[in-house]
Amino acid sequence: MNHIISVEGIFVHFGGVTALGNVSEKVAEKSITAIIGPNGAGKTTLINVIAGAILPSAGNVIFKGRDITQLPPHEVAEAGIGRTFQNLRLFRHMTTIENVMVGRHIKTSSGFLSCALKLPSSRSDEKAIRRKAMEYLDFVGLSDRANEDALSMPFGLQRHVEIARALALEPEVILLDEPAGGLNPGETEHLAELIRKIRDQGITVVLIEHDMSLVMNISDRIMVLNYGQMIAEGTPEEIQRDDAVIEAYLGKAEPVRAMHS
Amino acid sequence: MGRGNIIGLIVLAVLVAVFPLVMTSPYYLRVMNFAGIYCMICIGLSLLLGYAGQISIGQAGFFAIGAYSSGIFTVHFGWNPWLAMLVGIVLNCIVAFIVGTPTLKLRGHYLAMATLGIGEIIHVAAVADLEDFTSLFQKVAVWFGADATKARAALEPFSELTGGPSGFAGIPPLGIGAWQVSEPWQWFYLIWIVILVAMALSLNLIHSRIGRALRAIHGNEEAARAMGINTAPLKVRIFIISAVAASIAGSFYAHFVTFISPDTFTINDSILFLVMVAVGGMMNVWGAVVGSLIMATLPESLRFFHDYDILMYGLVLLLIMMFMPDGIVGLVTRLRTGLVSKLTR
Repeated sequence: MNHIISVEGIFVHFGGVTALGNVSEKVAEKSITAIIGPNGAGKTTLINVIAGAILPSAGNVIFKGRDITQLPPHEVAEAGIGRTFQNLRLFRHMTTIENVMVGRHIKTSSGFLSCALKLPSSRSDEKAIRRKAMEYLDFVGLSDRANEDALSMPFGLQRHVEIARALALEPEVILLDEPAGGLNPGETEHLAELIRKIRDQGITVVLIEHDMSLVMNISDRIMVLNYGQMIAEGTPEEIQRDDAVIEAYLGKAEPVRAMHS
Repeated sequence: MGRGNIIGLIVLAVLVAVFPLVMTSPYYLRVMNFAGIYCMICIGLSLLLGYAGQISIGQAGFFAIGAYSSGIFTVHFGWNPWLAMLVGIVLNCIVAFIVGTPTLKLRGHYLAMATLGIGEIIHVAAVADLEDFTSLFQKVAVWFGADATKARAALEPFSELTGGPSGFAGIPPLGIGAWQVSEPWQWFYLIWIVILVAMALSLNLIHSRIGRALRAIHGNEEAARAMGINTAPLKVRIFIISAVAASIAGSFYAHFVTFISPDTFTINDSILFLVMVAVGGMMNVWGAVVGSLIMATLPESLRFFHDYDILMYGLVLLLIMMFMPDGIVGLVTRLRTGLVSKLTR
């Protein structure tokens, strides 16, 4: 199996705190990999390292055989890694479709002059951008809400807009930071379907998630972080049986003391 | 650019065509010409402020570079006014590039501080008595063995370049060949046609991939970068565009008034431009037109406050930010959408 992303020996320090300590992981192409762990375990930090938003103090991120550790976020995106954010970061004062259209920026090239003069190249770019953006909105099931103000939509739908926006980059890998956060069970069910549909398009999905039934349901592999360390890694079945994982989530099982003294 | 904007441009074009026919008084035409010159600056500032989310407190400096380039090269060197205008534009591009490149790489309002500084430097340079520099250079030349009177004669033209605090007059009017723009109504058409063109270009830009990228940067820079947008060069370019707009306005000002002095290019003026954009509405380029029209005609009706103008600007800015942060254009848009939804309900 081919590995599309591998992180090797990642260390991240925030002041004196070790957010990530020696984390290594390989992500298989066209798979769904979940990163789980308690709050503050370093999950989002790891996603940010891959996306180029945080520079690790040591370690490498390899994407398709290329070292992308030092690349700034916009170059990581151009290389083929899209992402969403834990706290939604849609562009305000823009409609749903305009948000997704921003995702087509790197797929088009007309410059300031061509845009200001509305030259034919800019016109055809604009048409292609709108058509493509509509396709991605349709993919996440929001084509009928294209012209609504993105930030006035229900929270669950805003998450879908973010996913459509990231897909518009035509990435090979998409990083989803808690996509089910704030969703009700029905919406989560719908999200699971969407994530599978994304994988079926040949896109590798890496997601952070707290919703265990979602994670166990859709993931091919799961990695577990706790206090910046990777404590386990494997298939959903293996993770469910792992003692270190159970301890991290439920606390250490201590022998029951005799009640009488 | 959307139907609303096209209708807006047509309405503006009709108003521009009709105004001098209805208002023949040279006084009102002059007021509208000044409003138009400010409007050019505000369109550039609005692109920077409303679409890239960056503040410049030094637009008067760019305005000055344009005006002084036109003044100096036409009066002292006898150049063609259009060529002099081009020199001003190029100079402004260079200055904006130098100021913008390091500051726009950083997040936060570093550009505001840098432009505050550059605006002051340009103002000080305009006020400076060049006589001092001329005698300094003369001494240096003598020290290198040159003849004192010859050195003085060679440096003489430079001692009068800017006219120092009192400025200088006699700037020729703009013209094409033998035809010169002289009557207020001719100036009116020239200035406002430039604005119509600038508005059309700006609206095209905003409703393109570049404009969306800029609005995305304003909306959330981190998310914009995650979308593959290299934010720094885009911000630098829109800043340069705002400087070019101020430069063209400066050149028009110099040729229209035929006299320039440093008083026109102070930090108060930079703040006035910001107030104009805020009053009109900084989320929309139309705000630049509305804001500059209101603020340029208001002082005429508020002569009484003349000595307290900066106080009035501050008060207006404060009230706008507190009660209508989207400005007049924002308020009108909201009222209209509210009315439409009420009627369709």
